[in-house]
Amino acid sequence: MSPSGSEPRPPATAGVDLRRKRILIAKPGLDGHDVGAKVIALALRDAGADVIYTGLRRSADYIARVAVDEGVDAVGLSILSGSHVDLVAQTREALRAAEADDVVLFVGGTIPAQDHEPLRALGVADVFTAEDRLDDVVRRVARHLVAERL
Amino acid sequence: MTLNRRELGRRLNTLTDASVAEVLAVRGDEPLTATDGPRRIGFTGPPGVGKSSLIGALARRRVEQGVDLAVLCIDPTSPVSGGSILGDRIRIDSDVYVRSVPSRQANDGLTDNLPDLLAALDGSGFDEVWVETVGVGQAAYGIRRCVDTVVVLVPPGSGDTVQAMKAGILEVGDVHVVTKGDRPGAEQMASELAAIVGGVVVTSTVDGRGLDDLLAAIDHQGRRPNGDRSRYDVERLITRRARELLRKADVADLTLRQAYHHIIRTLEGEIQ
Repeated sequence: MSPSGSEPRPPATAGVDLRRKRILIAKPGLDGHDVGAKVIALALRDAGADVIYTGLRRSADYIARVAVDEGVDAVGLSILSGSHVDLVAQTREALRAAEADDVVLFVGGTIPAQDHEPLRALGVADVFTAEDRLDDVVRRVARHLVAERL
Repeated sequence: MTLNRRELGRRLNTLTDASVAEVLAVRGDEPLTATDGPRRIGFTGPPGVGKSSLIGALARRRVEQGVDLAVLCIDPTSPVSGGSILGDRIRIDSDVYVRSVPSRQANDGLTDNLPDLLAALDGSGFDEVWVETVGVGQAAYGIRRCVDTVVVLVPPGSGDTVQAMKAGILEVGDVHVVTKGDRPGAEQMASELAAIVGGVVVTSTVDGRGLDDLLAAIDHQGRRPNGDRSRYDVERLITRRARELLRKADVADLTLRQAYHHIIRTLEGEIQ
């Protein structure tokens, strides 16, 4: 809890301020590993974002509904199962059906390089893998969400 | 009910971080006391007591009863980064409108703009609005001023906990619950607690015990006259505005009286 009367200190990741941004971290599909999702969630929190986490094995429709109800600026899908193209297409469609096309979509996980372009073609703003440094991920997320402030 | 979830989601976004001036711009000309809004129920208790799990289980039953339900879940804001993890999102696929909000600068288990968020939900056609506070051990009186019924959750465990809470959150409760009733010690805790507060419901989200009894106990409670709710609404704005002014004021070389007068004078100046 914040000590009353003091503003939060500046975010930990230099030059990145995600305060007041709402980001949903979601795990669609059947893989049951969410260590990566949680690490990303904490890094975004440390940059000032409000991060909502859904838990494992959520349907695309459920993710879209949470995105709308929670009024998020972005959804980050964590996918390790290999079916990222299908799951991203489903989520994109569910967001469209929920009239939430303006929500920025990110994907992270075990995504082979040759799949990055197809994912971008589906409307994904950026793709992250274990190769990427955490502060770089946060910076790239911020580039899409706070472009107007840079 | 027909609910425009997208529109409500956006409205709540605006209100979650609204400054005092923005709140006045949006709500300033509405009557303070709305009389026939949805019934409000608050759930509070120490961290780890199982608030989210219990609310999830209760909400599922409530929806089966045909109630249109919205739930506001408040989670702590990191004092370091200003960010938050809103991880308590209730796991229900039923038709409940769940909204997670960070506590921001509030230090009473609630969030700065709670009256504004509740006002927005009041006008959206729900039958009931539930509020889950940040996990707090004591001094959670704010919630009592915002809702009709306060449900206080206590975990099974040592009687010392009850002693510690006696002067704190137990007093704000209308309904008292011992959670995790499938675990050893729950019944004993319930009888210790009952000696202090009267009736106690023992619940378990594992075997479902006590859930219907708890809903019945909640339904047995009446509405609270909402005069204090209105006062809280105003008090919240004044407190926030005073805090904003104090943050900017250089009071180091002033006397207490000078500093107090400086703030009051600035507040007065804002309406002239």
